[in-house]
Amino acid sequence: MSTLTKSGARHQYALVVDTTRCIGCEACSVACRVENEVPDGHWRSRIAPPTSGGSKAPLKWSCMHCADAPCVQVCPTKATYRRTDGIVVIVADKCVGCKYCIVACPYGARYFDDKKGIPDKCDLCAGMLDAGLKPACVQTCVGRALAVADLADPHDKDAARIRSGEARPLHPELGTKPSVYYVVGE
Amino acid sequence: MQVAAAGTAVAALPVGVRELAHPPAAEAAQSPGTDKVVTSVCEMCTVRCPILVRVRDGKVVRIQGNPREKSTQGAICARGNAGISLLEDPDRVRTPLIRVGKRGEGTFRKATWEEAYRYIADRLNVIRGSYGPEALGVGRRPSAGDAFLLTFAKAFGTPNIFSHESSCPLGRNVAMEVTLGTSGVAIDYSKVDYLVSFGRNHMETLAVPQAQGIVVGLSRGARLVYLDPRRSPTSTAATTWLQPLPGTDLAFALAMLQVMIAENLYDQAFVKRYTMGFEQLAAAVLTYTPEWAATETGIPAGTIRQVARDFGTARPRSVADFGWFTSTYLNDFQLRRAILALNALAGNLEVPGGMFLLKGLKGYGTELGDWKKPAFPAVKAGRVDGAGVAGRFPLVPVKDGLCQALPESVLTGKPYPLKAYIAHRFDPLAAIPDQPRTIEAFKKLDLLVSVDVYMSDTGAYADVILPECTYLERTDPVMEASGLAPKIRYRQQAVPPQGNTRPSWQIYKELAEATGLGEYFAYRDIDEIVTAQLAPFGLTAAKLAESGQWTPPTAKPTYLRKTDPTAPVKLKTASGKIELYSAELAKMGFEPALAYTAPPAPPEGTFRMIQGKCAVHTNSATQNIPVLHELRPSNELWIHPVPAGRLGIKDGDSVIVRTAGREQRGLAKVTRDILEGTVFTYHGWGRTSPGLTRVKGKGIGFNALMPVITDPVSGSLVMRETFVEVVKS
Repeated sequence: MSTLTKSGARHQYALVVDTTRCIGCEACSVACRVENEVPDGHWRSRIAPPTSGGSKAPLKWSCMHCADAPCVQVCPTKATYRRTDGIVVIVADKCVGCKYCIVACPYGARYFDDKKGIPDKCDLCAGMLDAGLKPACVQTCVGRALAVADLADPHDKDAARIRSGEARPLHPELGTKPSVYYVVGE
Repeated sequence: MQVAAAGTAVAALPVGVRELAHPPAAEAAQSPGTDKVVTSVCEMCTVRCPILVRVRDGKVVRIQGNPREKSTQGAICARGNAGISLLEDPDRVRTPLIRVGKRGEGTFRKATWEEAYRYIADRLNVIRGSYGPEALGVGRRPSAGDAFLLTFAKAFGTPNIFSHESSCPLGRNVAMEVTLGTSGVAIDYSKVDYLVSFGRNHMETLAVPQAQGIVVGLSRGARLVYLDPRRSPTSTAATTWLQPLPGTDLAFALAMLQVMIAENLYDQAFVKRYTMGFEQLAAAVLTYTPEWAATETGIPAGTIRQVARDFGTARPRSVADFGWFTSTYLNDFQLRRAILALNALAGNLEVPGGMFLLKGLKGYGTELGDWKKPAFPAVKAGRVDGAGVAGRFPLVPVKDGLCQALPESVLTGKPYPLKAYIAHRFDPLAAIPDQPRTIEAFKKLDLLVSVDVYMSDTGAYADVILPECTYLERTDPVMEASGLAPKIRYRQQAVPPQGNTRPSWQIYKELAEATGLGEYFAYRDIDEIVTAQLAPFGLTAAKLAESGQWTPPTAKPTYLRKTDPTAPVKLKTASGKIELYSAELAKMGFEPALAYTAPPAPPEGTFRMIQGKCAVHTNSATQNIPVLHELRPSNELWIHPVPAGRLGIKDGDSVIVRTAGREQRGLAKVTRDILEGTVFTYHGWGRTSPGLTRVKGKGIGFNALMPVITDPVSGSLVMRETFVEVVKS
């Protein structure tokens, strides 16, 4: 696992979702589904459409990669853990399939993959990030609304949007310290 | 991209290297193993975005946008991403089928290709002997493989060639031909400062380069004014969303013209040099004030005036979008003409942030080559639809025709009946309104052939279904994809055809041979055709395949008026200018100037029925594709809470939609996102084919309800002038 930046600092990944650029087309949903071979009937990432009474913009919805992740806390075998770079992952070999994590996640990000026998979810395409590439959702985004920020990189423009407070987490009151940040227009 | 096997036109890349723009060499060296990466072109809709297809062990594992294409930056939409789901769909027809049951039952027996060709050829030759070659009609959604079906039809000797265009953009195309002399015009979206969209729902009727361009523009402060009676995702993206009464956009456009002229907010020098008929235009719009338009549209006069002023002030980087799907209202042709007049007043032709003429290969002196074929036989009979014929539909291009003429000709025998029909990637039952009538016509045909990847609704009525392989399994002729500079794109086979499916270059060659027309298809295979196409450029398929697209090295993106606002722009109208007033239209007996006709109001107790597209489906073609079906399996009837309350309809209730003794059932979506007198559904549902196992029987099909109404000028179908009753079921 490569988690060092060129300067030697550790990566600290976050996903920035610019809802002002999101057109709600669900390209990301399908790119993710295909790239990660997500089984029929399940999605790691979806778009919640805007509604006249609710949100004003489409909202991409996936694992929030929380710093204080309830799924990590309840996992009896430590199969689910947060990598040093901030990505919450699950190790299939250690998972006993108890599904506590599915119940614990306040964002409803997990589904049970019958084939793999684990409660799976978005891992920010960790393998691709490790190879220096973009996650499938970011790569395919029509509105260029998605970006992976590296909070460990002082020059990262997307990280700056988080630091400045322009991009903010969804439901911070849940206290899980999510790593997905949303830019919301007026 | 590391080109490891240029000879086979396939680049090798290490597993895990998914971002293919410029993979660092060091990274490539670290990873053993290879995914083949094949450059190709998407066919999940008409836009044809360039793609990269990743293949592992003979299977497609992922499709992504080709990052070398600047207008998409490596993006593709949900449909493009779902190509693999189409490829692997168990519902695909994977062997030729010959009907054994009644038409529409969907009962077929498996056949060999030779049997299927023989069956078709024997009947075609009998039909030609009895009725003449003109008794064959062919219809298709235009595609890169058009040449094969069209060559077959012309070799057979029929003039009756149709496309799906009259059920989609034909009205717009004809308005452009009349006004600008060409429909080969595009908008420089990312650089537009002020875009007015008359119902062009960019974020759902999705063309990735356009949507991305608009988002780029909006993110740097451009404005988008969007008119739609329904709140769509484009309403959400727009800086201003206006909700006109359906069918009154023309009043809005006319009032904008009136304000721009009255307040001198137009480009006088441009109008003088590049247009004709300005006086007639000014006279025509004189009384179309914002106050008048307010009573028509329901939008305040002040708002209309403001939009006109902002549009006039932002020129030349202000554009009124000429739209895409324009089979809408009876006054649509006038609306498209008015929109083109707005652009003329903005003087935005051939400047950055405006409209531009497509710069095709032809303009650079060299065109794609072709395979050699004998001259086609002379066609003696006239067309059944009157396309291109004085006194009937003189403005309709003969490559498109009026697809709605099929049932008319068969059932009335006027001017003569079609006896055979070949539908290629085209489902007349889904495209042509008054579905029951088309079914009646199908039952009277001597021969109906469907060439498709699925058993479409039309396929279920066919005598023979010829299973074409998908775009991922075939190479197509090189296609032109020109914009500001000429460009060609290459769809090449990524994986072998599944089952017993074949590409259209092979299907029509073999069918022609069985029919005795083999001399018109004297090529060995598609590679020979591509080689012939590229020869004039000294280009090889292998070279083209490296990036999947190519622009002549001497060609640069060109705006003809960028540096010199008086530079000549050749327009192919009679006057050589933008025709704000059209003497040609007058000669044909059509209204030559701009004039308003109000849409009829819904009769008491009825709603105007409108439909639109969603971003995850293309027309009626993708609703059965597993992943896309999961995203949006059905449609709903959008109805405003006030009338819904009156009718006792709650959100999620079953409802019946009725008109003229016909009905469709579906679920209600009670929402304030639609006007009170209007109901809306997404298009493409109401499928009936037993071969479409997922989507069959789901949702509301408006085609079963709508009558055929044809625009007398453009030949376009008119699909939003139907009124329905809605009751709780």
